[in-house]
Amino acid sequence: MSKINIDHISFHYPGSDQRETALDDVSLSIEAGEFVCLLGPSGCGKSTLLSLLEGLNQADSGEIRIDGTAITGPGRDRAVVFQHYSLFPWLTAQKNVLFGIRQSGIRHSREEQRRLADHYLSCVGLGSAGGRYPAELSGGMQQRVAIARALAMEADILLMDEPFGAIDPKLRQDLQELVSRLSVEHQKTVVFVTHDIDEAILLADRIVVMEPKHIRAVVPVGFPRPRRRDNIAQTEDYIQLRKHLMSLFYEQVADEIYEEVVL
Amino acid sequence: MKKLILNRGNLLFLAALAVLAVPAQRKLDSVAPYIIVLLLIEAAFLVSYARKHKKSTLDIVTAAFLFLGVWDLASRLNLTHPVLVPPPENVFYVFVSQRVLMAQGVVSSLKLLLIGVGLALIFGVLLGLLVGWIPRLRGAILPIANVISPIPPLVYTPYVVAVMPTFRAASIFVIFCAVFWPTFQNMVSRVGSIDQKIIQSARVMNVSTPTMLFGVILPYCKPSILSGLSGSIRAALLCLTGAELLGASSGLGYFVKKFSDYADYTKVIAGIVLMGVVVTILSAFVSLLQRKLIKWRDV
Repeated sequence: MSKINIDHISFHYPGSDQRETALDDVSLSIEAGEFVCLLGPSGCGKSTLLSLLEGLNQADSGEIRIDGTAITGPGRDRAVVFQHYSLFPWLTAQKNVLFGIRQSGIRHSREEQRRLADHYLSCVGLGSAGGRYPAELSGGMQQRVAIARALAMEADILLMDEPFGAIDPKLRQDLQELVSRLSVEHQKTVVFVTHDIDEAILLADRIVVMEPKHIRAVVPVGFPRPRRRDNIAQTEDYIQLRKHLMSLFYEQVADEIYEEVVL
Repeated sequence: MKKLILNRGNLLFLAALAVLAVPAQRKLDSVAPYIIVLLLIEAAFLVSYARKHKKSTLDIVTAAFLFLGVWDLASRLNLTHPVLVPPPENVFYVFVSQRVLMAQGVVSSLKLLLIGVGLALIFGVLLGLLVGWIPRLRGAILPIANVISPIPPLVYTPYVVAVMPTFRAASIFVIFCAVFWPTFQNMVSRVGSIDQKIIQSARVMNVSTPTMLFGVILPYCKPSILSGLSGSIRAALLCLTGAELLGASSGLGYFVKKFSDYADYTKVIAGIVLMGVVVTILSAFVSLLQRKLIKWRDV
């Protein structure tokens, strides 16, 4: 049994036309401990698929099973990191992580909770920033706190929706390598949405290339995890893989442009 | 240092003191309370100006001493109306001669204010939270609130005072109305327009409805509750003193009303000054509360 089973999912946004489906009969299985990237241009339905996994939206037909049980909404088995900085601005970094710990449903004593919060903050390299409010932290640091909070939920599954989309490139690489390392260390099953090919190669065991409504291709990535960009970026395998993904990615963008011209 | 001593604020302070040497052409009560007021203003000025050289502080103090000095001089030279414009010495002496009645008034007014504002805040915030969170309730109740809330409570004050069994109940009710509606409306609209990112990240963390309301939305709304508070207190005081003019047996409004019935305008002016002082202290207290309670900013 797979960790996550996405079984013939269709979805359209309420209020929009029934014909304008966002996802049409999508199926995908993800194994425990696997890191899967959903890659595609904006509007291809990758974030929609993730929102179904989060439980924020319900599929029109088909079902998503986690450990064999169909999901009906958000659950303790999944933790989410959004693209936007989703910390509570009235809580300090440490209290934000504490909020996650309390929501995990696992009973801890007060000291234990505090110890855990500091532990998770130091996991993301923010051991000394616990007392600061989100407004006092940079975007990258806020996203680190959000990752710490997600880890603190003690969920098997980590769902990440373009978490580094708004972060400048130098910092982004640090964060990518951090996530690559943490996902292995904490044995998380990760579904990670991105439109960045290099990010997907750096992180994923399998890259699911999406086109509007459908999965176009599933591409395995062979490098052992965790990865560092410097170790893989110059290899022949990397260059081949990148070329392959580029063709999948842009072929489809080209299709789209052609469609627009026809219309 | 030189700037702290040699400025027009201090100069006018000395001028106001010098006016005291002008022989008075009408009977004055004790001069001491007035001198104490001058000294208090000067002390407050020096402390605040030494900490921060703000031009506005200097301007305010200059205006205050100029006003008091001219007022004192004019009454000493007998240029003002003897009944309608009493000398400042006499006005401030009322704070000594009527101190018991004044203290009673402040205590009784503040008690009513506290009860009324407290009840209104509790109900306004809780109901606002609930109505703002449940779209169906919001759709039904908001239009009704929009009809009732703009009616100034001052308008129905006489009616409420007549209908309610006791004056206390009436004034608490009027204060409640003055504070409840703005708080409630503010709360409903704030909850209704809450940043969806906040709601989403709470939902994916599986929060229960009570945690969502009291652990997420309430703290999110806290700044706007507190920023509305000082306006609410002012509105409440307005209604309370208005009500006290009608039927009270103690209170700030009662103090003014009682002496204006006897055309004792010295005491009337003192009562008005007292109200100003009370309002100022309340506002300062609220902004202190704001600073202590809200240390965060929106991202």
